[in-house]
Amino acid sequence: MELALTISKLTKGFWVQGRNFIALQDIDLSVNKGEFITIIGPSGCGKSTLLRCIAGFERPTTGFVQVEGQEVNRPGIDRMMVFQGLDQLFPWLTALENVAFALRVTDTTRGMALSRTLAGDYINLVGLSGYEGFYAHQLSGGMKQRVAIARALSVQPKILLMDEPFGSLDAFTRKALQEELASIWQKTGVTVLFVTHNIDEAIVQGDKIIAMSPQPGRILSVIDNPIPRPRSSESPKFAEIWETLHHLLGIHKNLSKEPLRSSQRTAPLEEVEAII
Amino acid sequence: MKDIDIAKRFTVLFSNRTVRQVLFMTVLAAVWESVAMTGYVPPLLFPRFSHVIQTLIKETLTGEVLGRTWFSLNLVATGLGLATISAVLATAFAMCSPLASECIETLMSILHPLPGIAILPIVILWLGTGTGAISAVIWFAAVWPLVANLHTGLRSVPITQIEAGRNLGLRGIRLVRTVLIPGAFPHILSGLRVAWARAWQALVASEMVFGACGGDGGLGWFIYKRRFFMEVPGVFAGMIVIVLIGLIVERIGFAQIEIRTVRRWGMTLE
Ligand SMILES: Nc1ncnc2c1ncn2[C@@H]1O[C@H](COP(=O)(O)OP(=O)(O)OP(=O)(O)O)[C@@H](O)[C@H]1O
Ligand SMILES: [Mg+2]
Repeated sequence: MELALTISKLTKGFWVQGRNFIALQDIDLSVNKGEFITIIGPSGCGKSTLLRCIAGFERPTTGFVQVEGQEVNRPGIDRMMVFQGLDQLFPWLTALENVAFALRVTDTTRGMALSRTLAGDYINLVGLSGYEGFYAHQLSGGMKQRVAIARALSVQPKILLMDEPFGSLDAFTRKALQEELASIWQKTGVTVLFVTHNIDEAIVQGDKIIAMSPQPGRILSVIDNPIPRPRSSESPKFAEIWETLHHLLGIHKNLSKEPLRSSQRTAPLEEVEAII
Repeated sequence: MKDIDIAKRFTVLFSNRTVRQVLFMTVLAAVWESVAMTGYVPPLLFPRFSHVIQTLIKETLTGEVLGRTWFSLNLVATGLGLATISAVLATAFAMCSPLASECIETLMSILHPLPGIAILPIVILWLGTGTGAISAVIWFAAVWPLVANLHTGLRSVPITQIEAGRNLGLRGIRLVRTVLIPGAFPHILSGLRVAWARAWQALVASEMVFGACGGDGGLGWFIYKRRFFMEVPGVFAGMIVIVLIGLIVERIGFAQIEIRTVRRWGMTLE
């Protein structure tokens, strides 16, 4: 297996009000080419910061990130990011033009016409044919994320970095996009690092699941997902991994002190939402 | 039956905004005409509307109106052009460092409230009374709203869009041109609108002050001359032309640009 990504001894601190705030500590990670990795951890544990270090938006304080042996020190099209927010598309361009823009600025020898043709293929890939001429404000949240995925894939990155891309979508749209992403991943063979808040999503999507600790963010465990694709939450091993993750992320910590009263029985699930 | 039909059609017609506006203006003109016709007001000071229109047509046919308009528009274009260049330079400077940004902001808060025409006396002392001085007044009137809007516009572009651009390898001037300027366009457009309105006012005002000494001039100068010779219909005609140009630029020029850009993109401010 060839390595797509190597992260070694990465620590990231921020200066906040005159003191050093450690967001990530001693992150070591190797990702093989073509792997689909999900990263899960409580809010504020540094998941976004980790992706931003890989993308080159942030410089590690110590340690380094290497992509196929090359140290990362600035953003580049070999690592494309899909952001969580719904405002990442350029609103002055149509869906097609957003993708064509990426193609054109990354290779100026490619003409306008060719860029648009290629962009059309990627719009098809994410299942948006018919919406080429729509501006961002005319697209639904799910459609916007599809265009963002198409735009990121169009420049043929080695690694696709996805920071809770479906976080602001409803459960149905999220499910549909998860399936779509899995099929795109299989077609393109791109390496994916996918950050999520959602344990189910982490298990359904990831061949490897990385669980992170709260601040300072460290890698608690890397779980190899034994469930074959396409994964569903009915799969027998699912509950087992779910429990493991649940435990790892420390959600039961406070509840174990006293016996569960019947009124509390639903509490853990709510707390998942509250803590993660 | 026919009456109802007509009434219905009238209601439909009346629900159109433009129709209502035209109707209102016609009523206004009619009132003007009748007040002037009563003879209670001195016709020398308050001419009939029809008389004003006649004068306007006459002045248009001799080419006078066109010549004056051309002169004025040229001056505004020069002033606005220079103001735009200065605003871009100032904003670029402000982007260099937080300190520079603060300096520009302070300068802006001091000078923005000062009406362009207020600097006329000092400009006359420095530059004399030629077109240079008028351009300077226009420049001053227009430059602050442009700087302010460019500044806020660039900062209003969502970070994710900037990062999406950087992710594609865009940096420096290319990033500014392909991502920041389009992203700031709604603010830029509104800045240009305010700048134009202020420039146009400053132009007319300063031309009127210069009227007596300049040999040639624009619409302000035209009005000034007509007043000097007590040709009051000409004064009104000049005012109508000024209003018309203001309307054309705002309603047709800027409004069309807005429809084709900001509105189409769903980027309207507020
Ligand atoms: N530019 C910055 N300056 C200072 N502190 C920062 C900066 N960016 C992130 N942090 C801090 O680093 C920590 C990790 O932030 P990060 O956004 O990576 O968390 P996250 O795991 O993505 O959280 P969430 O799941 O809520 O998105 C947070 O405590 C945050 O306050
Ligand atoms: Mg985050």
